[in-house]
Parts: sequence; structure tokens; C-alpha cells
Amino acid sequence: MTRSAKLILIAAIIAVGSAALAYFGAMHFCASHMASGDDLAWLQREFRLSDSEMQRIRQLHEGYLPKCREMCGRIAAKQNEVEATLANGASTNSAEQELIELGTLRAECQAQMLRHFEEVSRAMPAEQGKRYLAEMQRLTLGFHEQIENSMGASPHSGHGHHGNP
Amino acid sequence: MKLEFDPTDEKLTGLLKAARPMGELAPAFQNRVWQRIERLEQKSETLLDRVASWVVIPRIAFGALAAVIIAAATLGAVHGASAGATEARDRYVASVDPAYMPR
Repeated sequence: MTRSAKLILIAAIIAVGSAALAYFGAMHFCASHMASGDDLAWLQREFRLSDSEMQRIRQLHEGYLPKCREMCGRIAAKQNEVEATLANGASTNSAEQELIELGTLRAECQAQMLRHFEEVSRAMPAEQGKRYLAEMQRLTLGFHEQIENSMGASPHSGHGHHGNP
Repeated sequence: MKLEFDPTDEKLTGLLKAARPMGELAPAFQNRVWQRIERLEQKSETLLDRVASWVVIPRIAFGALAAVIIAAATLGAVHGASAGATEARDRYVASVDPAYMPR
């Protein structure tokens, strides 16, 4: 290896090492800074909310959580009932009824969640509220829509809809 | 038989001069020789040599290193901010929708 090649190799090692340190250091610092705070910290940063707006949203959030927990408990209990019914080998009719009730509870939960999102969006400035609502709908309801769309689109899934020709 | 060169032997010196005549140097002969040497040296310098010659200049080396560090830190900050914001967003959404699964 020539002297020039050695010099360039050493310079490259120093440059790559320094760059890696700077990259990972800055990434770690910024990631921990952005992820810091409580569950609502993201809202204030993302939607540039004032302290008074955040106070109102915090009240709404804290009011919503017990309702959400209660709904989760009801869904979990109904889920257990469905499993028990299926395990006991009960009639298809009673299992169907349990599944309908489970689905209804899930729909109620989603509707309650949507109402909460709307309340929170109204506590924000109009433009930000609109953006918040769209983002929450995309992240929560959009997830289920994606699964349903993928089930409908895949011809090999066995769940495709077979319409009349 | 022992042969020795005698510098005082005018006859012999005269014969030697006649046998190896020394012509006059062409005008600017020396300049042309230097130019040829210079051209040869220039041709032998590769890109590697040129880069190496910059690397040893402290002003250039530190300037380039600072530029690399600033660029890497900026990129890291952008990626980190994005990852941190996504993590915070996922935490909020999971707090209001327990069925939410971060993608």
C-alpha cells in the first residue's frame, strides 16, 4: 500500500468514525427529546397547542380513560363468554348471538373513541383540530379498513367475495 | 603488462579528444531537460496522491471533517426527531385505543 493510500485510509476511518458518532449521538438526543413527556406531550408539540388548550384536552383525556377502561373490560368479558360458549360446544345460534354482542360492543367502543376525538378536535384551533381528527381516524379506524381491504383484495385468502358473474 | 593513463601525455589526450568529439550544446538545452523532468513528475501523480496531498493540509482536513460531522449530525437529528415523534404519537394513540398496534 502506498503512502498516499495509507493516508487516505486513515483519514476515511477518522471521518467515518466521527460521522457515525455525530449521527447516532444526534439521533439519540433528538429521539429522546421528542419522545419525552407524558402521553399527551405529542399532541402539544404536533398541533402547537397553548397551555390553556392543553389543560382542556387533558381534562377530556382524563375523563375519557375510565370510560375506555370500562369498555375494554366489557369487551374482554364478552370475549371470554364467546370462548366459553365455543368450548362448551353450545349451539351455533347461541355462539352467533355472543359474537354479535361482541361486535356490537367493539362498535360502541369505536364510536365512543370517535366522539372523544371529536371533542378533543373541538378544543383545538379549527385547522389543527381538522388535522387531528383526520390523523386519529387514519390511525385507529384506518387500521381495520386496511385489514378488511386486504382480505377483499387477496384472491388466495379464501375470504374473497364471490359475486355473481 | 601494466597500462597507465598519463594525463600529461599530450599526444594521447589529443587522440582521445579526436575520438570522442564533444559537440556544442543546443540553445536552451538545460531548460528543455528540466521541462521533460517536470512533465514526467506531473504524469506520475495520481488522483490518490492529489487527495493525499489535500488530507495533510490541516485547514482542508479540519474543514472537511467539520463538514462531515455537521452533515451526519443534521441527518441523525432529523431521523431521531422523526423516530421520537412517531414513538410519542404511538404512545398517545395507544392510550386512547388499546387495540392500536404501531406500524
